[in-house]
Amino acid sequence: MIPVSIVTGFLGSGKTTLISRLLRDPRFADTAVIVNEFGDIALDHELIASSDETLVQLATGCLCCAMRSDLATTLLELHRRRAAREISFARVLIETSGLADPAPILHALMTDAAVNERFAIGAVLTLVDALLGEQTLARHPEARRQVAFADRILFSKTDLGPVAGSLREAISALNAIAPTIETSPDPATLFVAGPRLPPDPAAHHGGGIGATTVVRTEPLPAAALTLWLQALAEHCGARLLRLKGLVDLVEMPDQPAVIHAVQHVIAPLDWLERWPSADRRTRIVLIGERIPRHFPARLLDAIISEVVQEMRGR
Amino acid sequence: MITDAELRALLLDCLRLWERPETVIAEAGGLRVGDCIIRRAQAPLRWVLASAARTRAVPSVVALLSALRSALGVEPGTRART
Repeated sequence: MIPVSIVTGFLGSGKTTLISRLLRDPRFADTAVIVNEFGDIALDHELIASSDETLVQLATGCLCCAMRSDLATTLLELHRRRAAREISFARVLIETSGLADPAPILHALMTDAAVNERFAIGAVLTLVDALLGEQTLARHPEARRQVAFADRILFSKTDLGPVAGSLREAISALNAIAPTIETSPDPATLFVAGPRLPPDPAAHHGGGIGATTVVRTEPLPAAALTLWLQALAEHCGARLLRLKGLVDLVEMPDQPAVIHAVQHVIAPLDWLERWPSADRRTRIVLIGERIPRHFPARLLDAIISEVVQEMRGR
Repeated sequence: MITDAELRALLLDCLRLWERPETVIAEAGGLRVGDCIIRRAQAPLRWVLASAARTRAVPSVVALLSALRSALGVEPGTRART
């Protein structure tokens, strides 16, 4: 599986500069880049020093609005050419337009069967301008959603000034689980994604967007997990921005299930070969807009109680 | 088994999610949500949702929430896609 990562961030946050820098690093040279530009005159692809063969420009519209099928087509064409040994790459980066909502892009990656067979979602890296980020987050809902969807947050333009504490607080309120990076990033670790727990398992909320964590010490019946995910999709809909976690299932005691959802789109369960640490609790992180803080946990408990009752024959 | 207090808290969360003005009131006959009354049912069912328009018996809390949503006139929820 070839990892596909998304580089997003508001207009002017430094996405193209970052990608250009990454591609100059020998450890990151084997990368195909899909650049989505939104405007009459596309320039970003001209600014990225890469092989023409592995740099694809999607400039007919905003990727999150109208070009989801174009993205799948582009990825599959890249894969075909790689299989035919016409080009070589080990990973794909998608640079979104500055106004893009990451959710539909993730949907496209998750729901196209042919893409799913060949590519795996890597990470969502969101750039935040260290100087202008606070005003941008305050004014633009697109920027808040980009932060909320992030697996990692990279502060850009830190050479021009330090990252203000108030900007850190604003980001933490939107997404308390994504680590922040403010030094020159190490390409090897920049796009590593994985379920993380916030340092404080209590919910964090800001501007209507918040993260909450569900932790369970007892294994869950698989049926309860399925019902819960379906009910979350039904009642939270687009308010559920992201959900990810490690789940201890009754049916698979030695292998944690990895769950991942973007809004109502639920990725197929994935399995780790073993628990990554001694902590074998179920840990699920949800980031959503105006979702009552205890709703996910209360719903899960109610469903588990009924499923367990059924399993015991009432 | 979910207690009345746990169900009430879950229903209150749902009302907030659905942006509904109703609240949940514990009465002798069950939990009242607007014009609806929720009572426990005999197995194999679990709940009965009674409103002026109809009475429905449902087998699970998930079905109860869907039925209540519909009874309150909230637009249907999003179907999960995998």
